[in-house]
Amino acid sequence: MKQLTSRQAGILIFFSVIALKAVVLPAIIFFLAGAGGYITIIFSLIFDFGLLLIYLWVMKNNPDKTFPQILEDAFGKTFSKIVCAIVFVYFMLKTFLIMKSVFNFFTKAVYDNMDWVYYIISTVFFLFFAINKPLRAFGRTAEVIFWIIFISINVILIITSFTMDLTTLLPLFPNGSVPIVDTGIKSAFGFGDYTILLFFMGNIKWEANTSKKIIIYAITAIGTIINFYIVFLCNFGYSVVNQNLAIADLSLYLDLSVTVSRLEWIAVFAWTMTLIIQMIMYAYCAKESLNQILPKKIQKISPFVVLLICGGVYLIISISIQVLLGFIFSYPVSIAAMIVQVLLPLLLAIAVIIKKRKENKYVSYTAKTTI
Amino acid sequence: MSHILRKLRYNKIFFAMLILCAIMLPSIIYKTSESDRIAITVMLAIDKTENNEVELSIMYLTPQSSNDVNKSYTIATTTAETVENAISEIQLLIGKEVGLSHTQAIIFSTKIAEDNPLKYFDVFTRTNRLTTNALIILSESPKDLLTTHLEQSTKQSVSLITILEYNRKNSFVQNMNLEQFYSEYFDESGISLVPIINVEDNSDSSGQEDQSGGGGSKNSAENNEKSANSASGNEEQSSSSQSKEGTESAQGAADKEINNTGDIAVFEKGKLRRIIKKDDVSILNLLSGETEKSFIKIENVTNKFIKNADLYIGVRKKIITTNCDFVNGYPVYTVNLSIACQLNEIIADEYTLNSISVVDSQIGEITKSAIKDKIQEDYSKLINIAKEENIDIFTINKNFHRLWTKEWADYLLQLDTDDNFMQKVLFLINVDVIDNG
Repeated sequence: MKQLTSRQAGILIFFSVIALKAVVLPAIIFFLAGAGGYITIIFSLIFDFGLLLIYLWVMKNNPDKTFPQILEDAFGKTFSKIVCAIVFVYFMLKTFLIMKSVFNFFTKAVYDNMDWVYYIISTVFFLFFAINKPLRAFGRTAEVIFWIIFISINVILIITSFTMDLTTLLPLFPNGSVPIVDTGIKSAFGFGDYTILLFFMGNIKWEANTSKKIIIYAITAIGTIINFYIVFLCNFGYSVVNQNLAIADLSLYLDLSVTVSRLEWIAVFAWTMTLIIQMIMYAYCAKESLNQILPKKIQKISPFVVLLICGGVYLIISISIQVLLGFIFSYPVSIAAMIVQVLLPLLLAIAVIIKKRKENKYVSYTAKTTI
Repeated sequence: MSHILRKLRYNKIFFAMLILCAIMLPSIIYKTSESDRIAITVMLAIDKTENNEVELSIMYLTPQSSNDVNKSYTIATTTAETVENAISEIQLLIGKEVGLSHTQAIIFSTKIAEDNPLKYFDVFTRTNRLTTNALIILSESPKDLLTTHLEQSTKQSVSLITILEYNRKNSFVQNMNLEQFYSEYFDESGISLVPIINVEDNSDSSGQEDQSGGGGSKNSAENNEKSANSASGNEEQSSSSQSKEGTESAQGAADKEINNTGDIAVFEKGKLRRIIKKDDVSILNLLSGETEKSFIKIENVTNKFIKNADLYIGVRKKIITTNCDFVNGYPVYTVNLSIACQLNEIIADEYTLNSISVVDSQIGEITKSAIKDKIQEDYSKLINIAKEENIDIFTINKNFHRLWTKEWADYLLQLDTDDNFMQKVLFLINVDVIDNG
């Protein structure tokens, strides 16, 4: 039974695109690329959108098959398991990053201090409960909260757009195109949002307009993020590099009367739900990719393995968010992330083509034999 | 009840929540209230002593059962080598952590302004606890301003917060927050306009001294000395004091009033360049898109119903656009101003019936012409100040760099030094006055 409707898949894609991009990524991008950082974002999102189209083409041609099955049919079981192992590592890293980002958010914006050990233990337990749920549960939850989050983000953007200085966007390419391309490469890990589609394959009720719906949600998310980065830069100017919690800092920047309560906090907390859902999604994807590697008899241990690694690493090694970001935005990790993000859809597309050719050969052989 | 419990027995979410609460319980069960642990600081005052040390005063909330919420504020002062050290010293003094999440304003002195305010603000940019929109204010005596604000708040008189609220939209000066200061420091022009709010001494004995920054420090030292004798710890090196409401600082503040002069301080790349007086600032605020109310004074106007009168014209609405162009290789900065005015006040020796008539006492052509002349005169005066002192008040460098990057770079190459770019810029203003209604 298919677990996700097209709408649910589209909403999860929307959350995937916006989740991590409104936290510390803006400060990093603008630091690396200068005021032209928004151009980096535009190009990276467009590039990612191209990968989305490849994923959708693959899914349209194989609506009932999961991605390991597609790879297995074309390249064999061993190759499929190797790819799943790489995907597992990729999503584990994403889970590490988002767990740290959520903690960073709560300690910077909400609480004066929060105990790291208790946070890890409670988060691991919560994730354990959540990732054992089927995909259907995420889809339904996403459907329920989508409009709250969408309206919240747009309320923040609309309110803060009145204090923008649009001239901050000029000149275009202030330091040339090299910093922009370089930043695009270095920040690759912050993108690749459509890789979660790997685990939607074979799980979506594929209809005639499924692709269209997903594309509409993706374009909405892209538009929201580009708008966010522009508003962010135009409000803070060059001091944007100092804002490590973009969405919270942006809403609190307004020089409003001190007698007015800060209603933007409602919007900020609503947006936080995106981070939580995305954390669950990444951990779920890591668990599912591990399931493909392990034999069926012991697949039940995959949630434990995923969370043991997450919790264990964080409890044993005390990593600051700066060190983690330095690692993730380094050239080796960024290039590896880019390879995974680009190669995976291409491999799947090649697998579909190979499979189609095999089928055509079989059909023509069968036709010849019959005649 | 029992049937509910029976239902919940099979509910995984319920058990998950229970376990989550159980995990978090040890970390929160013995946690004290944050207000017991944190001194909720609403204002900060930073000054520089004669020994080049930082004098930091904080006004923080001390919850008390009292009908008057203003009686719950206390001021603590300390002196240390840097702001971070001063914050640590104050924490030792008051036994609480300094919490900056509700800080409304940071007041700094002219001495700090003449040094380099960024040295003193650096600690605030690195902490995530300070709110993004904490305002910064320049004052000759920050600590006096703080104590006067506290004293006047208790009397339900004009307080700093009231003034800042008014400044927000209606006044000669606009508020500047710390993030904006940094943003403007790093942009191409580097110009920041910070409002000045001083304290006026109404008493006879300490008249002039309190007006100057040096007098302000002396008062702080006197307060420190008095309270150091009464409090524990009479060390010479760390002159820390905690002045409670009702002690000598409040008595001193009783003779003082907050004086919002309307002057502004112009900072360029974080350094104080000039203080612009209220009369010259009025044109800046007329040309600002954010102030809602302005007024123009025109003198010696004679028209059909008045003779040699001074008119006070209120600007009710305005539309401002600016253009940056290059003409024959030279930058031209044009301001187009459309204002809807109304006649607010006439100061004359003689009044006619027409001058108070609802129908007739409107802004006529003669007055419109006088308004245009006045605006152009004030604009020229401000530009002359800017050119003479090479202060890029209109952020010409920023605007032209962003809109005409190549042409601006070529223009700068023509000049002897980049700093003189203002000299050959042509400033124009087109004023269109619309009558009220």
